[in-house]
Amino acid sequence: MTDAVHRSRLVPPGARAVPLDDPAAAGAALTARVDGDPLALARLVAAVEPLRASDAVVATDADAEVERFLAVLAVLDGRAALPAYDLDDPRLKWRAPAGVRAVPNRPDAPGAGGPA
Amino acid sequence: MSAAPAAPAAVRLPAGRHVFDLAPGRPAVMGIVNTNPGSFSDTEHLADLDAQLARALALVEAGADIIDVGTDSGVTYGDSVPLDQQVRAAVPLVEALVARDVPVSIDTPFAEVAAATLAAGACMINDVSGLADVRIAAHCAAHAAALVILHTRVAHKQEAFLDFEDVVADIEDLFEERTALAVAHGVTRDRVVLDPGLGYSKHPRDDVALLRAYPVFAARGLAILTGASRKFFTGVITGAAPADRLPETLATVAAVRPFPGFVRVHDVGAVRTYLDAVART
Repeated sequence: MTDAVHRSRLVPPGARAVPLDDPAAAGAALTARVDGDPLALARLVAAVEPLRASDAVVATDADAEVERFLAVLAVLDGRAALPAYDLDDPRLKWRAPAGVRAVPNRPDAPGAGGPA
Repeated sequence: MSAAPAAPAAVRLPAGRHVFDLAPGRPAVMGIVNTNPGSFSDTEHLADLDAQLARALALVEAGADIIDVGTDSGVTYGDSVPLDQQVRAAVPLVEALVARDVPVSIDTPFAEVAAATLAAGACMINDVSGLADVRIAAHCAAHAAALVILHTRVAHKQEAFLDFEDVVADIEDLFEERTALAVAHGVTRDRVVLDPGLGYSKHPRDDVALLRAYPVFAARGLAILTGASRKFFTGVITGAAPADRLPETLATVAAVRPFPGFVRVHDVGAVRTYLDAVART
């Protein structure tokens, strides 16, 4: 799976995920090895979902991914706030392929000249 | 609101010669295949019909219930593909899928593309303009096809983050107005699908607000389509880059799963696996 660079930017209230070798894994409600398999991750988050508002610990090698799943749900559930954001953050946006020019908005387009 | 909306009921959606029985908790999965080279989320361009058909059939094998064929990316860099080129690329793919009894939706704001692909057997038009061109409704009516009405206040290929005073009220207003418009042009109400337009002309805060308002949208008794894949607002929460948002996509699907409709995703296999797993719990 992905490395820790993409770990959640917030730690929401509710369930949390820890690496398999974390001392907290000893008391985990769920333990699962994903081995980079997206289908295994899908099965794991399906099992995690009912625990999202609990204080359960999930021990997995996909702890960063599970934390991200939980973080999005925490915001949508209203248990955590949407973090401050920058609409032009280049790390978060799809970029045009090299050499492809941007098409300017029409002058009369709604929001033209705005932050986009 | 004076009272909480009732729990969503199942929706039966006729679409061409197909019927989708959409139950709460069991959204249908819409897989994405683009015939154009511009889509921002394609990791590789499917250059010819064989590659596009192979991808579509692989998505069906992975669990897609319907294939959404994109003919012109909505990205705001790069020009539109000429209409005749969009039609030439899409029609053979539609015909090949229809011959295999695969339901096909067409992601387009263009009436010319809608007309040609409906004639080729597409059963749904995913109008990403929110019915800016009413001819699309008339074409859908002529083919008894379903029509997706997406909420946006910005024209195709225009980028903007609008300041909605009340985004949910604006979505409700558009759904009311455009559904009536579609019906006035011959689309039966039960063939209308509503898409709140996650990420379309909206701030991340609006995306969060609209996802929390799904009970309101579902109270209309129509199917809801959610473009749930790799959305910007989820990147705001987790910091993940666009191509690496499978957990975020799954969380978005989890949020809309209680409401009958479709989830439009790139990661069909993982989403199908997730939905099957939660259905067993």
